[in-house]
Amino acid sequence: MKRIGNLFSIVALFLSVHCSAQNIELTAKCSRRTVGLNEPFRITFSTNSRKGEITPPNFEQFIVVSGPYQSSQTQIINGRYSSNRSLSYEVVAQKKGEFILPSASILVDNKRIESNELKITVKEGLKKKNTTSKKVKDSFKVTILSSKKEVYVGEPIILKFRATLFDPVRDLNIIQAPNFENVLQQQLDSKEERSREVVGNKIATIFDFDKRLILPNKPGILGGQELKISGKVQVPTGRRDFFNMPLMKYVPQVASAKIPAVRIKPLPEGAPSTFTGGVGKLKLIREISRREVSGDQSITIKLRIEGNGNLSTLEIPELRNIEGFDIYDPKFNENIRYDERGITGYKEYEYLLVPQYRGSFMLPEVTWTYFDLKAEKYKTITITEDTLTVRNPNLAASKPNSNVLASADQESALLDEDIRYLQDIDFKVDRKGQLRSLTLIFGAILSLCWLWQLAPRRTLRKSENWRKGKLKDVQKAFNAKDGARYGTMLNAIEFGLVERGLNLENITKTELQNTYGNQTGVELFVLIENCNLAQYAPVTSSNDESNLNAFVEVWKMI
Amino acid sequence: MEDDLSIIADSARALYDRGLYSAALEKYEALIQSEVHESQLYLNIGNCYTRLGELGEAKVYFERALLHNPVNESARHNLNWINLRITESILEPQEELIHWVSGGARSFLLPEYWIILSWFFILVTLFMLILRRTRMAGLTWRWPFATTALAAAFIIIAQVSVPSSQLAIVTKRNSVGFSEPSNDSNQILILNEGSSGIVIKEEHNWSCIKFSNGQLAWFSKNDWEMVLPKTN
Repeated sequence: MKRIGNLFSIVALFLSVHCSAQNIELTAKCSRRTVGLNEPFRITFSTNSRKGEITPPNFEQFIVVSGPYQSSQTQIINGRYSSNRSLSYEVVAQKKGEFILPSASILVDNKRIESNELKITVKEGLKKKNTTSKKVKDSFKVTILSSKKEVYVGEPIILKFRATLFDPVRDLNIIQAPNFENVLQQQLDSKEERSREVVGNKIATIFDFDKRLILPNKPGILGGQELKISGKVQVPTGRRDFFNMPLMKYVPQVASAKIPAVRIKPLPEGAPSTFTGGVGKLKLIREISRREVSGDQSITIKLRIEGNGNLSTLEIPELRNIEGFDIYDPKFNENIRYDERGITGYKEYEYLLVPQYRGSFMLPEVTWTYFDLKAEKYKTITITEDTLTVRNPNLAASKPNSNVLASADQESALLDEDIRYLQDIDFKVDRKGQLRSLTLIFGAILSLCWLWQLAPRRTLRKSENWRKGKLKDVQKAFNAKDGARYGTMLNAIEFGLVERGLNLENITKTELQNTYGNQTGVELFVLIENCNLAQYAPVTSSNDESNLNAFVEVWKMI
Repeated sequence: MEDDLSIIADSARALYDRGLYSAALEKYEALIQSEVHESQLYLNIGNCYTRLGELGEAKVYFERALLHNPVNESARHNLNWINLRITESILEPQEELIHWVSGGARSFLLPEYWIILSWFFILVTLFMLILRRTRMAGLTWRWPFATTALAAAFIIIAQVSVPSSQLAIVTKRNSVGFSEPSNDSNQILILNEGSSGIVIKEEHNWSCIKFSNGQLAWFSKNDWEMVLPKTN
C-alpha cells in the first residue's frame, strides 16, 4: 500500500513538472501604445519561468534611455509555487510613424519561447493631458551653439553643447551624438561649466557639457543627426509623507537639439598648383642642420609648417631629390593643440641626407601656398635655394649635372680620366740573398781590419818602451859623465837605423834625408858625426848638453 | 729565365689590349708565382682588377705597387682613381712613423742601392785602415771610423726601407665586423669594398682590424687582403 502511495506521488510530481513546462510564458508590454517623438515610455518583458535569460529584441527604431531594469517575484500560495521575472527599458522613438517592436525570447530546456510583438505609434507631439506631463517636458532643453555662422572649407568651427535646466534633473546622458557629415571633429578638453541665468522669466542652470572642434572638408550646410540627451526630472507625486512633505519622483525625459545652420563656403577658385589644402595663418620653415660637411657627417633638413590653421589635414611639401645625397624616409613630427582658438602648433618632416659625392650641391627652392583666412586670399611662401658643400675626401667628386654647382677641382678631373696604362716590367734578378751574404762578408772583413788596427798598436807599444829605455840609457850615461856616453848614444842611433833597414857604417846624409825627411835627416847626420868625433876628441860639458838635446829631438823622429 | 718571364708579360699585355682582362690577370699572377715582385707588375694586376670592376682587389695591388716603389706615379694615380670611386670606404688609418720613414727611404733609393752604398763606404774604410797600418801610420783613426759609421747607417736604412705593412683592404662587396672572433658575437660594423684598416691581431680565421678612429673589430680573413702578404 505504501509502495502504491509512493508511485502516485512520483507520477503526480512528473505531471506537475510537465504542466508547469507547458505554462511557461513570455509577454511584452508597453506603457503606452501611442507616444510622442522624444517622449520616453517603458517596455517590459516578463516571464513566469525561473530558468533561462530573456533576450530583448533589437530596438532599431528606438533609443534606450535607461535600463534594463530587472525584477523577480516568487510566490507560494497554498503550496502552489509561482514566480515572475521581468526586464524593462525606458525608450524613446527616433522617428514618427508606426513601428513593430520584434518579439523577445527565452530559452528554457532547449526550447525557445517568444513573446508577442508590440505595435507602437509615434506622433510628432502629443498634447499633454495634465500639467505634470507638460512640466516634465519643459523641465530642460539642449542646444548646440556654433562659434561661426559661415566658414570656408578647412576653417575650424567650435560647437558647444549646452543644457538649460529649469528643474532639478539628474542622470543627464547623451543618447545620440550628433553625427556631423563631411567634417573632421575633435572633442575639446573642457571643464564642465555651470551658471545660473534668467531664461524667459525663469531661473535656469546653464550647463555646457561638451565642446567640439569641427573642420569642414566639403562646402554646403553643416548637417547630421540631431543631439539627444536624456535625464530624469524630479516631479511631485501629489502625495505627502509622514512629515507632510511632498513626495517626489523622477520621470525620464529626452531633449533634442538640431545642428546649427552653418554655411560652409568653398575656397576661391584659381588656387596655385602649390596649394596643398592649408587654410589659416601659417608659415613654412626650412631648417638645415649644417651647410658644410666633412668626414662621415650627415645633414638634417626639417620642413615645418606652423601657425594656426587646419594643420591636421594639410600636406607638407616634400623635399625634392637632391643630387649627391642619399635621402632617407623622413621622420614625421607634430605638436598640434586643439582649443577654442582653433588648431595651433606645427607639423614637420625631418629628412636625413647622407653625402654620396664630394662637391657643392644646390638645395632647390621650396614653394608652398595656403589660403589666408584673414586676407581671404591665397598666399605663397617661397624658400630660396641654398648650397650644401661636402668636403669628405673619401667620397668621389660629384658628377656634373644641373643641380651640382662648380666642382671642377683637380680630383673631379681625375674622376673623368682613366687609369694609367700598363707598365713594362723590369725583371731584375732577385739578388737579395747575395747582397745579404756579401754585406756580411764585407762586415767581417771590416771588423778584422779594425782588429788589425788594434794588434799593431801593441807591437808599437813595445817598441816605444824600448825607445824610452834607450833614451834613458843615453841620458843616464850623459848625467854620469860616462866615458862611453857617446858610444851609447851612437849605439842607440844604430838600433834606430837598423829598424829602418839602414847601416850606420856607410850611411850618407842623402839616405837619412830620404828616410826621415830633410831636416831630421840633416840633424841626425850631424849628430852621428858629433858622436864619432867625441869618441876621439875631448868635448866640453856644454857640447854634451847640446848633443844630448839634439839626440832627444832626433830620437822622437826616428 | 728572364726571357720566359718577358714572354709571359708580353702575352699578358696583348690579352689586356684585347680586353681579355681575366686572361691577362692569369698571366700576371703566373709572374707572381715566379717570384717576380716588381712595382710595375702589381700596377698591371691592379689595372686588370679595375677593368674587371673588382675595385677592392685593384686597390690592394695599387697599394702594393706603391709599397714596392713609392715614386711610381702611375700607381699613385690609379690608386687615387680607385679611391674616388670607393664612395663609402671609411678613412684610411694613419701610417706608423716607421712605415713613413721606410717609405721615405724607399722613395729615395731602393733597399739594394742602400746596401751597395754601404759597401762603398766599407771599401773606403778598409783602404784607409790598410793604408794606416802599412804606409800612413800617422793617419788618424777618426777617418776610418767615420766611414765605418756611414756604412753601418746605410745598412740600417737598407733594412728599414724593406717594404713592410699591416694594411689590409676589404675585397668583398662588404664585410661584417664582430665584437669577438666569432659569428655569434655582436655585429658592430659593416664595411664596404675598398675600406682599409691595420691588422693588429690574428686568431685562426679572424683578423682584428684597427681603424683611423681607433675602433677595433674582428673580421673574417676571407673578406680582407693584406697589402703585403705574409711570407712563410
